[in-house]
Amino acid sequence: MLNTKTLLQRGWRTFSREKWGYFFLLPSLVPFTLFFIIPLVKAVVLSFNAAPLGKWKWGGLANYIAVVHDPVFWVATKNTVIYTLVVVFGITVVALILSVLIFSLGNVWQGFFKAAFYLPSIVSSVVIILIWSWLFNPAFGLLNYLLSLVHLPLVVWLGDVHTALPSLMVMSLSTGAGTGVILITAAMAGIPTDLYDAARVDGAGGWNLFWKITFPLIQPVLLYLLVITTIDAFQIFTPMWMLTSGGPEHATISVAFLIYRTAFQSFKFGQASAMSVFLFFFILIVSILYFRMMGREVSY
Amino acid sequence: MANPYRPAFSLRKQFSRLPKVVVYLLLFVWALISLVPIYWMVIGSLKTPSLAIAIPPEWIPSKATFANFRSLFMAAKMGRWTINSLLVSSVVTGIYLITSSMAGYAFAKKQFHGRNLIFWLYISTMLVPWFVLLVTSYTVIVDLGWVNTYWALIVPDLAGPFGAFMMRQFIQSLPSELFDAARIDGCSEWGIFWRIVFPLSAPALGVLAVFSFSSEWNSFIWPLTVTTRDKMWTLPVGLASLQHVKVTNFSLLMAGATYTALPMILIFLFAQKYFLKGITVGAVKG
Repeated sequence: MLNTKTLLQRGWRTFSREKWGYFFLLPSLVPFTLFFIIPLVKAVVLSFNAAPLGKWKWGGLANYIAVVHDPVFWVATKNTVIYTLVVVFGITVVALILSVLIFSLGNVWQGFFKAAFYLPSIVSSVVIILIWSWLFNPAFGLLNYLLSLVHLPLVVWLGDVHTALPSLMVMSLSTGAGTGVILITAAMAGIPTDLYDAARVDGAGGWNLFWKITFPLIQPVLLYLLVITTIDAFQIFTPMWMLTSGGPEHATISVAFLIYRTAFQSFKFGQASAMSVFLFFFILIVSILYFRMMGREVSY
Repeated sequence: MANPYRPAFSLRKQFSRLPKVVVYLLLFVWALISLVPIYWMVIGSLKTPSLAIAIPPEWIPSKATFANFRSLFMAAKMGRWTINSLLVSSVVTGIYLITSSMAGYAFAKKQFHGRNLIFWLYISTMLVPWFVLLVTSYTVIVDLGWVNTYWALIVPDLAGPFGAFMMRQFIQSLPSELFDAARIDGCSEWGIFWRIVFPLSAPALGVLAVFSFSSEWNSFIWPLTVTTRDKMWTLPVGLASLQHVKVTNFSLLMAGATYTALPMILIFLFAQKYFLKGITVGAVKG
């Protein structure tokens, strides 16, 4: 029978053999604990807190009930979902089309277009938003000038309830497609060409080749693209902060912007945490849906 | 074997059904959509404020001036924000490279209990939307007394699952015999990491450095949240604040935007390969 002493000895021996593995993980553990684990636990705990920040009073589901009964939260959710659907779908489709077009070109042109499409995503979102604040400006903006050239009525892009959110979608779409192109063309380059040769011998044409070979084989990358763009879009915040403040009439308010305002302007940290928990589950549900839809293993 | 009756088939040919003109036209249209805003920013920064809002606008400015940059530096703490941005981005990148390769080395070459479990748990945290943690991360900063300090800007980003994942992939490809040989020669565990693993990882570290530096340089929401005093702001936060103060001085705003964007554009032009490699890590085989 084993006694405590031998168990301890054995444990110590295992540990001293393996201690370097843990040692090398140690520095990663500090930021991870402080700024992932603790905030995650705290978000859940605070969402049940009825007292102001720094004090504690068990509030049960009070914060969640307040959030659910807040009509602005549902407007924000609706806006965020619509924005995400349009931007993610738009980016994926545009990136797919551009990738297919690019792929028929030589290396030099391919490199040029990839760099051109990707350039807007390397600068800060703050920079992009400032540029677009000028382009959207009703009096001095390029967009209304272009409309005036073709004698179309001018648009108050960000000031109109109907055009504000679509304007922000256009801005995100114009900068977001580059990443998709880089990912998709990289995946297409990895498809063995003999697969196409074989299909050609079997009499498949261009359209068929795309849907029967290219599309299924780049599906893992499309899934990855969908997941990262969705997570990104669901947290849309900066354009609201800089351009619209969620207006006009809540037309552009997003969940992330509402969380920020609830926490840092109204100082309702409990409610902000409850909204964060909602945001987490919204994104989790969507991610699971994606994986159910297209998360099959692909091998070639 | 080559078939004399059919030219060798390549993927390229698969999509060459469309007339070349249409292909180029579509691609050029999207290239314009991507590039015109950036072009508009750069020439806007060189126009005088009145020329910038003239209708019809000048596509090629008749005279260029750097006056906007001068007034920008006089109107705002641009110098201080530049130093803050440079300091935070460089320190974070330097340490991030070390912590990532340490973690990558442990996950790739070290045997210990729970290695795979820890690895997958750590990696899966990348799927947690970070905005969910923003409010409570801020409360951690408050508890630590770090509001308006460099600690708040630097410490949270000193390590992360993306770097660990990338370095693990790379270090796995290094031959273990190398480390065994060094061990026999009496090299310490730390020495093996520092003198062998780290230098050999240079290609992957380049990709990671570009990735880390650019995401720190461009970072906005976190510095906005943990700094309230303008002398602790980074460039994007300072830049966003100009927009609230200045009334439609677009050429000044564009000077600030160009100034903030320029380092990234230069890095991109000179290290494009590293940038593009960074995006496909974790998504594409090979």
